[in-house]
Amino acid sequence: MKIAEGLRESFDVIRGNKIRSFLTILGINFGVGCLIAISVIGLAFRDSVGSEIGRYGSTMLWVQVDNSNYMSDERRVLMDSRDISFFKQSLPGRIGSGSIFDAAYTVSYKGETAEITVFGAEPDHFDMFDINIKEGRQYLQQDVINRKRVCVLRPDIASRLFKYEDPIGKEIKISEKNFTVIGLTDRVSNTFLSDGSDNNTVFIPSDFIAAKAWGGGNIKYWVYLLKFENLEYVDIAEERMEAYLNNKYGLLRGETRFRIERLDSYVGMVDKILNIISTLVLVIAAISIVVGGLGIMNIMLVAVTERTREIGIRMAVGATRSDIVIQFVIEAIVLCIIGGGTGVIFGAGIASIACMILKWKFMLSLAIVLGALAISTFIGLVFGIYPAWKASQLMPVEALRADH
Amino acid sequence: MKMIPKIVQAGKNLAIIDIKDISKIYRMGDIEVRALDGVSLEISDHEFICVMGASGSGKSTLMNIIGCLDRPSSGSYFLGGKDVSKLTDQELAEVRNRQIGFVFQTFNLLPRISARRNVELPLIYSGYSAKERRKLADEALERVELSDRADHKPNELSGGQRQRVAIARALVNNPSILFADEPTGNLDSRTGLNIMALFQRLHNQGSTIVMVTHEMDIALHGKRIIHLRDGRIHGDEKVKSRADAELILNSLADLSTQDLEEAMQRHTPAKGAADEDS
Ligand SMILES: Nc1ncnc2c1ncn2[C@@H]1O[C@H](COP(=O)(O)OP(=O)(O)O)[C@@H](O)[C@H]1O
Ligand SMILES: [Mg+2]
Repeated sequence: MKIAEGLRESFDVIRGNKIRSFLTILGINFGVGCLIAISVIGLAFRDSVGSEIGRYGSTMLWVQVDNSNYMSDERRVLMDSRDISFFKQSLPGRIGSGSIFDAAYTVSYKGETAEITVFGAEPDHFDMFDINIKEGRQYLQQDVINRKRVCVLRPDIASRLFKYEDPIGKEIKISEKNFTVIGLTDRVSNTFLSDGSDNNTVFIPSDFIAAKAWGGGNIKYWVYLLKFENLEYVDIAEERMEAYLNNKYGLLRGETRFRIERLDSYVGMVDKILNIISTLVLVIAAISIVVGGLGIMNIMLVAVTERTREIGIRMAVGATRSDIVIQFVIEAIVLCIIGGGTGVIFGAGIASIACMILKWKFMLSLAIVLGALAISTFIGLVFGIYPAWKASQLMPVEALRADH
Repeated sequence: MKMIPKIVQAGKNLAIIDIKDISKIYRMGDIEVRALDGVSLEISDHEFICVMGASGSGKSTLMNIIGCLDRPSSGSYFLGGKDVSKLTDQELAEVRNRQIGFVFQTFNLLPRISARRNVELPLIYSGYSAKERRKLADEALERVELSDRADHKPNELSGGQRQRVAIARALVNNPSILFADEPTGNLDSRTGLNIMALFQRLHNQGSTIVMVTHEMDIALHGKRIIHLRDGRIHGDEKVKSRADAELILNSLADLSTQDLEEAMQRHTPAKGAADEDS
């Protein structure tokens, strides 16, 4: 039997058995649709997490008091400004650095009062944590040197204090001191990595909090963050800082007093998590295709006795075994292509809606589409053809005897 | 299309069908059913032969074997001088396609395609183009006087019409032999007569016909009757006074309704044992 004849026969049969064909197509459609939707959404999720980390770059490093090596009531040794000067002067490739001091303060403007967290952060902080200024400007080193009382507001606190006015240029009270609002930031969403600030945070130059926290004495640092041009500089910095700190402060019962952590090691960890997510996505997709496949199998097998008679009739009028198998192969492929094609559209549609709602990046790769089509076609072929092949091995009378 | 020499090229006296000592044994668990038990039979070209016997006597089994739809458990079968047991599956399919037309009691049409597409079915497997197929199918439907029903699906046709579609399908590839297993079994007697008239016409046009029936008056339309009992041949005789279906139909057509019923009774024996085979 020629392919063209097989096609014609298949279309005859498909048209003649509308419900069965429709259900088969629906089964394949669901299998492919779920596979595509799940893998696209899964990949978009992976991408959204991945790009979150990418935003900070992975060339950040921080040093902090290693609490785990201290007894609970032991006095901690902190870093001082000489250490910070050393970091700033002897570490090559540094593009930003700073510490974070936070404190709960009362902030107010014209009778509106709020109890919130104020971040003492250095100008570099905005760059290091990729904080976008939506309006006005961030404070600069210049402002810090001139001891300007300026602040940058996150959107929620800004709208809480300033119901009807433009906050820029206004003076708010932070812990009884006046600060001029010079900038408003973008809204932060739930990010994977953050400096710990939220939409109610007020940023001010760190000296104001540090000075107050240390009662006007020498400022000490629990933590210090640095960002470098590339990972080689991070390597150098890690090595030098460790040597410097151990040399200066000595070890504590053989353990370091300070812990140096690199963002890229976290990125590696996150990568591992992302790989787990990918595997999970694959497993769920596989389950969905199996479920879809079971549906196809069910419909195909239910049709077997009816098809067995058909095969008997065809063989009685002269069809060879290969004629039968070719016809069923073509039929299964036609059904799979129709079902798979609509499934791709259906799955991609669902995924794009989901990505739109979640604000994830919609990416549909050819590999996913081809993979989904290949799997569904394989299932359709196996379950569509195996019974046909088996029936074609019978003598015509035996096939004709199949009960209705 | 492929040209294959017709396997059946028998001369006048050579048997087109020659079976010797054919047996068919069905095993069901420990029980053995001898559906055929040493049947030998020769059928020549241009015969119209009827196989008679009670239900369960092995008629269908015999038909299926000589119709190449089944294989015997033992014995030899030569079709047109060729040993069927030595044919490959491919060759056997070709025999079914070109040498043999088979008509079943239950019609065995594909339910969801039109009468014409059903008739075309054998031609698909002999490599005709769509155009040739349509032409030949329409010719075959015309021979069974069903041209006006070509686009109907089987469930839109009466039993007699369905059987005529099945006959058209059996005829369409110009087979040497027409096999019919109780072709009137599922039809009322008048429709049955119509089918017999059709068979007699085909026979007059040159077809070899082998027909199975358990009704004597149907068997009388043939020229030779084989009696089968318990899988053995118990009689083989020429029909002396052959029934002419066309004549009977014409005489029926002239009668009034009441006479018609009487006539029908005359021509229809009391239905024998319910026949549940196919
Ligand atoms: N597939 C089968 N399996 C077992 N026994 C069968 C089968 N087909 C037919 N038989 C038995 O073989 C015998 C002959 O059957 P069959 O040829 O159909 O008779 P007929 O057509 O004369 O009524 C019966 O006893 C029947 O029960
Ligand atoms: Mg029978």
